[in-house]
Amino acid sequence: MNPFVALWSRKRILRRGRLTGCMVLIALVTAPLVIALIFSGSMMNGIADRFIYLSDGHVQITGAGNSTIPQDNILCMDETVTGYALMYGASDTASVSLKGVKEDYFNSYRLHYMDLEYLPQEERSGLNRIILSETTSHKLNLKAGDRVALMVVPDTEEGVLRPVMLQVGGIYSCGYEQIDSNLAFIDYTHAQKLFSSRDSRVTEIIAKDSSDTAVRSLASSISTDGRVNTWQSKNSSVYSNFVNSRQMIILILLIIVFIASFFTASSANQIIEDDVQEIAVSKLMGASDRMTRQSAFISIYTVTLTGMFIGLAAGILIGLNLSPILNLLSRSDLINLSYYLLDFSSVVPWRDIILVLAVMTCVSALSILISLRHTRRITPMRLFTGL
Amino acid sequence: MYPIELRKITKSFKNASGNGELLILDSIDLCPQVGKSTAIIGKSGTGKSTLLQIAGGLDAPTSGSVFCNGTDLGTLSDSKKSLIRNRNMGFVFQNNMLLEDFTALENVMIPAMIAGKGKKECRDRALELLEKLGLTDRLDHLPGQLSGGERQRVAICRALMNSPEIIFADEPTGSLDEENAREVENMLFDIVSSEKKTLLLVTHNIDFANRCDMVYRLSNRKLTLEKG
Repeated sequence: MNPFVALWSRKRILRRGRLTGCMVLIALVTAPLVIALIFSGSMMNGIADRFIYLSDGHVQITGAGNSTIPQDNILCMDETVTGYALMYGASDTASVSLKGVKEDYFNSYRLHYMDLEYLPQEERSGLNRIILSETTSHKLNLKAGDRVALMVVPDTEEGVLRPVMLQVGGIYSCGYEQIDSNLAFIDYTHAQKLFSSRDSRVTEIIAKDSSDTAVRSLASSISTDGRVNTWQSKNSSVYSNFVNSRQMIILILLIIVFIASFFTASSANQIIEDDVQEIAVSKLMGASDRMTRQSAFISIYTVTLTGMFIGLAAGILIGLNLSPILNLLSRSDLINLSYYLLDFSSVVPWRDIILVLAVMTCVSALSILISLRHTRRITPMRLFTGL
Repeated sequence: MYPIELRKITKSFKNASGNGELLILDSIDLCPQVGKSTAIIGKSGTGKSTLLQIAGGLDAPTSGSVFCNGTDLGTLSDSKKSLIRNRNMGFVFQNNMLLEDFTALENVMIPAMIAGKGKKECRDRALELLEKLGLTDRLDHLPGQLSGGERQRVAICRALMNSPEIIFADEPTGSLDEENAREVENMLFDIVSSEKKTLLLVTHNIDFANRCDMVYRLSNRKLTLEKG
């Protein structure tokens, strides 16, 4: 690089004022973009994980008599019995999906995604127990130890509605109301008595490698006389919602990036206007138009990239520490929050961030280059004529 | 070949109304002698500065040609003209035109840096010139921290940085008080003669002009020799 170009670029960057403002603004645009990406990506992952670990597993085998399941990609496998019931509280009712599970169902993998508090052994009655979500227990005004009446929906054509009395043997919360409000656990042996149909028997498999291709490969390698589904195919609307939401968020972020890049271009224009005298003097001294453009580009682009990386760092820092904000939100009474998961581990979606920042880098570079075409019109004669 | 040669230079501007043209320079020939100083005097508004700008390749004549070492500047692209200005010409103007964000030393180094010379070479040459003009204690000062005379001395050093063949000076002492003006005049002549440069000076100060080897007067769009 020409030494004058290097020196002039450095002088411009170090000069306080417009470029600093530009850098701060770019950082202020980038940081929320990164936070939005971390928040949305992590929340979607969190919701998907709750569907997988508490509701369906990565792969389900329904109504199987005999199955051959390769063990190499299996983290855990649980037999469950599923059915539906109407639950009666003192002043309200709730329709719930009942899942009959064995004691070891609530292993450390699942407990990572839920808070579960059992009723102490000494307070247990002789009734079969049901584990309710916090949402359902609030709705029906129930607490651990209370008795609750259910009307079990038969799973065969010959079956009839059957009233059952159970004791609330524990309260759980997974943080996502859409699952919480619908799911209750009962004992596996009791569920077998309530739901006798072969189609009510579901084997849930959690895979070690949870990538889409690994899960599909696991599903296709299972040999069974039952039906095999992945969680995506069973919850296709939820999954496609995730995919669409993610694409929409990235699209919106890209639009914001374009707007921010045009701001950079307008700053570049303004900087050129402010530096007309300097550009004219440097041309008088023999600097070529290429040198003046190069110098302006380096200084504006350096500031843009610096702003972007400051924003990225701040965004990641805040994005990885969202818990206090989410806790505040979860304590609020906002009804719409029930559609969101407010308790999840933040994960930096590097691929999405790199995509957005790459677009920002390219569009900024292009818009700055276009703005800098004007330097050609600045000649040394501007020093004398002011034109 | 001459460092600069003007042949049949005519310059006219459009009237403010847009109808008709105002003739400023009419068929002017000028060929400053190598290693000599040439002054152009005349009343304000006669076109002295315009003539100097045309000679320096900053402005284009309406007709006629400017040659720099035999090359017609009118046939060159902007970048080639920039190159010639950088290598062959030095400029000193009334308002010095220093870059405000650069120190005195950096301002002087600019032409050599533009030429792509090494940092040490640039620095050594700049220090040599600044020392000659008594500015060694002002190296790291920004133009805003220098007096008018000091700023003009820095501008002279900058003009000489690439050892150009010709120096164009347009009213270099115009904005200085008498004492500073005299000091800058002396320094300009001393350094131009010690470095054996051709000087083309535009001024309305007769005493300053008379120190030059040749003096031309510009009046009624024509150049006439008064001395030399």
